[in-house]
Amino acid sequence: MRAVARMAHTEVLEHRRQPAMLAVMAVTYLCFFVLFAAAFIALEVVSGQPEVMAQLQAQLEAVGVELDAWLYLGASTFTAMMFTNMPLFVSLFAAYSVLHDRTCGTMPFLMLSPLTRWQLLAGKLAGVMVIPLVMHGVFVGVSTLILGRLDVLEAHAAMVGGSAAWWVAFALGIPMATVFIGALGTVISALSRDVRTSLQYTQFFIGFLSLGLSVVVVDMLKEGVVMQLVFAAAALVMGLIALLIGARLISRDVPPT
Amino acid sequence: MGTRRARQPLVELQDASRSFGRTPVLERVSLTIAPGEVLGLVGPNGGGKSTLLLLMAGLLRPTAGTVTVCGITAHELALTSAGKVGLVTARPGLYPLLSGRENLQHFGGLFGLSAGEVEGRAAPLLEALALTDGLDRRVGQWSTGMQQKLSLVRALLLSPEVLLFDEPTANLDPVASQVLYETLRGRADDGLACALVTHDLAAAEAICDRVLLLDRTVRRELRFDERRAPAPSELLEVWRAELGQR
Repeated sequence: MRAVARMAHTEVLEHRRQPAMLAVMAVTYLCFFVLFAAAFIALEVVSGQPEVMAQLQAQLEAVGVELDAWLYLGASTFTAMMFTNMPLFVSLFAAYSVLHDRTCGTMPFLMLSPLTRWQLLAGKLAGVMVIPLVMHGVFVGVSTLILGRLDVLEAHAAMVGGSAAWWVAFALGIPMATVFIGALGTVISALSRDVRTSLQYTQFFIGFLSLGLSVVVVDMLKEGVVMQLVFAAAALVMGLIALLIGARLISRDVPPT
Repeated sequence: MGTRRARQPLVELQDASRSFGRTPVLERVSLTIAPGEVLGLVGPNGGGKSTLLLLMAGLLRPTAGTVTVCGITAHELALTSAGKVGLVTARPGLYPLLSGRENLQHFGGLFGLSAGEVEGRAAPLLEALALTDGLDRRVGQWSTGMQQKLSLVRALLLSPEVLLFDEPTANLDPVASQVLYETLRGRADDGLACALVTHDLAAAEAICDRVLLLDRTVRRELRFDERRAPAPSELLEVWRAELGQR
């Protein structure tokens, strides 16, 4: 475990020293929050004005959609978008994780150390997850606490922090889905010889998977806590399997550059 | 300046070959390196020198033949990760966003050394290589020479028995190169078995006990029973007098 912790520690140190990257991550969360918060708060304001609300409902009904349906769509889309960020960030970092050691020239020295291939992949995965996990906790947690207090979303509170299933999805489902996606990214990174190849595979396999799994998590919110726990456990197991298979696939051989 | 010592070799290759796909890079190379000996490897680009060094480090397996280091197969030795082989490559192989100290702690930590142990082992090496100043600056801001010296400190951190240098002075100024060569020779005189891949023929003649001319296989072997002292370079002396070890 010490070797895994050492690899993870170094990965986090390197991430922490890239302030532009951290700023981009934070701004991404803020953009989603501001966009949805503006729409929901505007509705909250007009909900106190019956004439405007009646006019809005009439306009929506004219195009065949009820206001309540829009609110449900808005709440679930907000959560899905916020949930997608963590696996997306982790997949991108993971795609460059092991490859970074090839490009820095540190790979031969890692291979001369007692680090096993499994420890290399697990350490890299743990390292790339730390900062996105903190961001997920802070930005998704705080923004949901803010929007979840709006009266206009009361009927759909289960989608924005108003249910135990949401909190399980937030604390376990998405982090475990990220373990699975990050494990795939780390293995792709270890198998790739250059950045372009790694990012192409990552985008193809993982871009859709990040969005897809986040949508599945949100869609399963109505199924309750147990299903969220089952999903989290399944994602974790799949992540570990991906790491184990990856550790067998990658070669310890370090070809000359 | 000692002579070659007739001791049990620490590195032994017997008919070692290596191909990448269908392309043969090394064919039936046999050699030994005894403790206290520096073996030079020179030859054209693509001649298999770096591949040969990676075979000795256990980072590549031979497609035929055997490579033995410290009595066991080089690849098995690498898997046991006993720290018996120190490696310095043309690229320093350091994390640019980490400081020198953090780099040493990372690689030392992988061998189970605590931060204090790394500090204790590295201190005399850092002192000898004039690296104590700026150790907490990010390595990406260091000169190539400083990075290469730090790479040497990392290689020596675990007191290896075999030291492998793969063109360590590429892109280095003459003084930094001299420091690296002197350290290599000094370690060999302390009993380490050393291999040096280089394009610097004058340095190879000055430092090495034997030099192999390699082009896919060993073409010639030159022995220097009494190592020649390097011809004094007036320019190098002036450089050192004016700029010191910088």
